[in-house]
Amino acid sequence: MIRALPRDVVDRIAAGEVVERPASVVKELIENALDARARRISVSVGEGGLGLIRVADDGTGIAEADLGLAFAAHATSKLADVGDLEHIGSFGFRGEALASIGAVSRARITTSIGTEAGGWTLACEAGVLLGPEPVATTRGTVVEIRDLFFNTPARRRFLGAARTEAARCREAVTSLALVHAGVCFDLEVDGHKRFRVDGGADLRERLAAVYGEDFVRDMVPLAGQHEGISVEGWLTLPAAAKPRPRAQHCFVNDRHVKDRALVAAVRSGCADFLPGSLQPAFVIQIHLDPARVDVNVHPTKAEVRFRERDEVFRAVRRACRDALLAANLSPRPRAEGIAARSMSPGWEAGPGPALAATGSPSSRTLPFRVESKPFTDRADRVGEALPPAVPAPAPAPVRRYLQVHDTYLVHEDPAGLVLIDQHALHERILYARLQDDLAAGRLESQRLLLPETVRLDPSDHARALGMQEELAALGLVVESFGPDTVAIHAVPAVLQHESVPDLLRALLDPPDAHGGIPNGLDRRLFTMACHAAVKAGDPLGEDEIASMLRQGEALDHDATCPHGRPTRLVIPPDELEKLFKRSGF
Amino acid sequence: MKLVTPRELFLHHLQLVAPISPVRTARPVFKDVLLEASPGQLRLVTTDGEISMTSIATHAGISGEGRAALPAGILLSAVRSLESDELTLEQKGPFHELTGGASSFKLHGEDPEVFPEIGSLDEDGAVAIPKTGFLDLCARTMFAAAKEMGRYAFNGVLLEIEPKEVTLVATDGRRLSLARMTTETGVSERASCILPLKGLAQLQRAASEGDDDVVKVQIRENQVLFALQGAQILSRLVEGEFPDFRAVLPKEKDAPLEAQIDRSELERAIRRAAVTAGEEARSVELSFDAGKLKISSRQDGLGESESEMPVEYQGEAVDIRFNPEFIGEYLKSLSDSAVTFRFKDRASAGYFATSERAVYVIMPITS
Ligand SMILES: Nc1ncnc2c1ncn2[C@@H]1O[C@H](COP(=O)(O)OP(=O)(O)OP(=O)(O)O)[C@@H](O)[C@H]1O
Ligand SMILES: [Mg+2]
Repeated sequence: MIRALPRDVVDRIAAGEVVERPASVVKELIENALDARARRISVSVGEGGLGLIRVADDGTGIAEADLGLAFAAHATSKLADVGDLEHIGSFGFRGEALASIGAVSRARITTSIGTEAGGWTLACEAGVLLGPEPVATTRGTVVEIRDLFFNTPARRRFLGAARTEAARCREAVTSLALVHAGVCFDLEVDGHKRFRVDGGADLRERLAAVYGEDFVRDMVPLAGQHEGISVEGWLTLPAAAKPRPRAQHCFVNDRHVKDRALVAAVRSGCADFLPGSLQPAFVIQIHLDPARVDVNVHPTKAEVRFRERDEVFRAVRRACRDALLAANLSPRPRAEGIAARSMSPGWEAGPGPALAATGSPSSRTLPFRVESKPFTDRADRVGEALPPAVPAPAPAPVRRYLQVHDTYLVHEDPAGLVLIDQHALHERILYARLQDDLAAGRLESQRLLLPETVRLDPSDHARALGMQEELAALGLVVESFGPDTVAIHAVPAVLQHESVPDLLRALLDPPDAHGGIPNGLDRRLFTMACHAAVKAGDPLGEDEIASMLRQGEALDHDATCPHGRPTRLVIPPDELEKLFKRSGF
Repeated sequence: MKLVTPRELFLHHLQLVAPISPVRTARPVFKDVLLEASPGQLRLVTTDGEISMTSIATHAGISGEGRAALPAGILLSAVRSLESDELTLEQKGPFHELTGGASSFKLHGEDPEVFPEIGSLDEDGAVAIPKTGFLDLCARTMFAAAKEMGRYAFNGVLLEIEPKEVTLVATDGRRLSLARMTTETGVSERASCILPLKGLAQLQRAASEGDDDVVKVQIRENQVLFALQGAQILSRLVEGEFPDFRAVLPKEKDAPLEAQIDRSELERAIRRAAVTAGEEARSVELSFDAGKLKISSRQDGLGESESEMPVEYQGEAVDIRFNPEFIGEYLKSLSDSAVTFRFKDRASAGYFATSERAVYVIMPITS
């Protein structure tokens, strides 16, 4: 039964804007269907959700007597008194969603609780009710929202293009579809079927349905129990982690939440396996007693508050760690260190294959030869039969440069003690070179023998094709290959060891890492330089350091960069003297 | 178990199988080598879960009986460090004692029963391929397989067995190497699979030792078994779809220009040019003109280089640029004295060939 909530409950419900954009409507409607124990949920979206959002379910339906209150504010069937707020077991509890949606759209609910009762339909236009009227319909509920925000044009202005909003709606459906095993979901966008998962599918199959089989193949299952908190899910193997993850989903009691602390917990569980610059993709499902989590903290329910945060953090971290410990981390059959031996020493300028095989960030051409250090823990080193002779130790060279923590370079010059961030400096050098090359029309591009196809969501697809010329200038040759796919025919030569899909996404949407570079060609060049540069944690040899410093000196400005972090710090001799309290001696 | 064996023989076989076992693994038993002794014979097995290798030592000097699973790396180092001609390995309570002369080791083992069972060759479905020819195909192709992970099938080498032909193909998406040999395989229709590099490298290693004439190959559902007289390698196949290599093989119109080049001279010139080819993006330029080929490279702040050599070439002047590693690795894999290079223009694929049966396709670098 739908009832108006008492005042004291209303006052305690996190207030704020419930519907920000079409995707929030999609989420609210699906959650209502799930609360109504639907087994089948069909969603269709037209014109980015601004034209039409339609969610049809086969759930309990709404009784005629209750229908009048469905669009009423603070009316819900899911909560009775303040006490219920302590242990919310349903997605809805505010009795707000339909009211907020009905106020800014032309909405209609058509519903039936079963054949005997018949069906009823009720419209609501900008908050004004029309009906209910009897109709013939089967058990379940269809909610149709047309012309969202038609009476609040200001709100419309804050939305992205229809494609972007459609992509967000899709994201809302997929994230809910992932965890609700037993429920069949399908989505249609502008009349085209987008995806479908069956009721019987488990999380793994659901992931594959949403993200593709390739994606799941690189994942391991995780499962753990800790202090009554159960954690389940799937996690990418370290070797498949990317700088920008494709998916990071957290669910708390099947509610999709955005929680930095949970992401941090997963990362911390992966810490021993994953370089800091890479992000795992994952789906984590946390189940715990509803009384131990407060879902009433955020107007769109995107955040939750755990009563014992640290315990949850620990449970997640441990589950991830255990999953990786148990997984066979030796990569699938692929080029292992052995391939190194089939290459002559003269052709080792590429990355050590062993490095590449471990998926370390160095899997691209380093500007120098990578020291053989990483080989010491290679699998095939155990039984390394030949050569038995250890090369005679060369006399230790006088070191003029020092690498600290495989991240910073230290050396001296007349101005004082110089500390350099190796990544920042190398990035700067490459950025300058790429700019020169671009200006001189000699930015190199490696053509591909086998073009690589990349699936993109509709908005990225359109952007990639819109930017064809600009990308080609950068060496990335993109051509259309069907409605949601592009084919890459050439890649920038500096980045030919990067994964092509990652590269494409990075160049479509270059992150403004250091702030200040306008989102254009320059920012894309900068992104390329950043990807190609040595990373923090890459061990460098003396020659490599010397060569890098030499190249740095040749630049107009390598110390202070106009846009970002400093590449170097200099401590002048008198400053050192002060620090050591030598002045006066 | 108890085992008495000549040291040299034991060491040799351990060295063959030990590279398989991984250093870090969640399953400790993968670090072990399984030893099975019987009078006159010792069987050694290692596995990493993907690839397993069995090596069989047959020798009158071997005696003993029983099974043991001991850490491969430590056992190998121990055997290397012992000096006597004959070694004894014997279980003593919780330890296995390895003795050679007056020195001995006590090693902790695992229960050999937990060591995964490795299937053996079933002669029926096996194809016998002449060993030298097959090793030659491996050498001509393996270098071109993708070394970093990406599209899975690129991390392996395609093996195709046809009634009268065996073909290996490898590609990393930017170049592709194909080599085939003629041999009666006895199969009635084409069979193919994608071999992981690690398994092939292990086969190369094992096959270059013995005096076998043939390698027996058996393709199973998701595994491949290579058998030599004293060794077997069972490897998981690489999953995935191998690209349609036939579509990228040269057709007359794709490469109307042709040059005959001395292999070792080209290799040296490329090596020189690589010095000044730059660091991050490396390219060398091949400039063809009537009767000669100039190979050059330059990188700002680094310098430039140039070499010229006579070649058999009649076509127009064309400049085309490549990654020097791609050419260098290829030339190094050959023993032929001359190569044919066919091409069209600076933006289209180039094809190296030493015969109809060995082709290397390589994509240029453009700007
Ligand atoms: N698809 C549906 N099937 C059955 N009943 C529904 C459906 N959608 C809405 N209802 C009924 O309408 C009421 C109002 O829905 P609404 O989404 O506005 O609020 P709520 O779900 O209770 O709380 P919240 O605002 O947190 O979502 C619900 O309590 C429920 O009884
Ligand atoms: Mg609701």
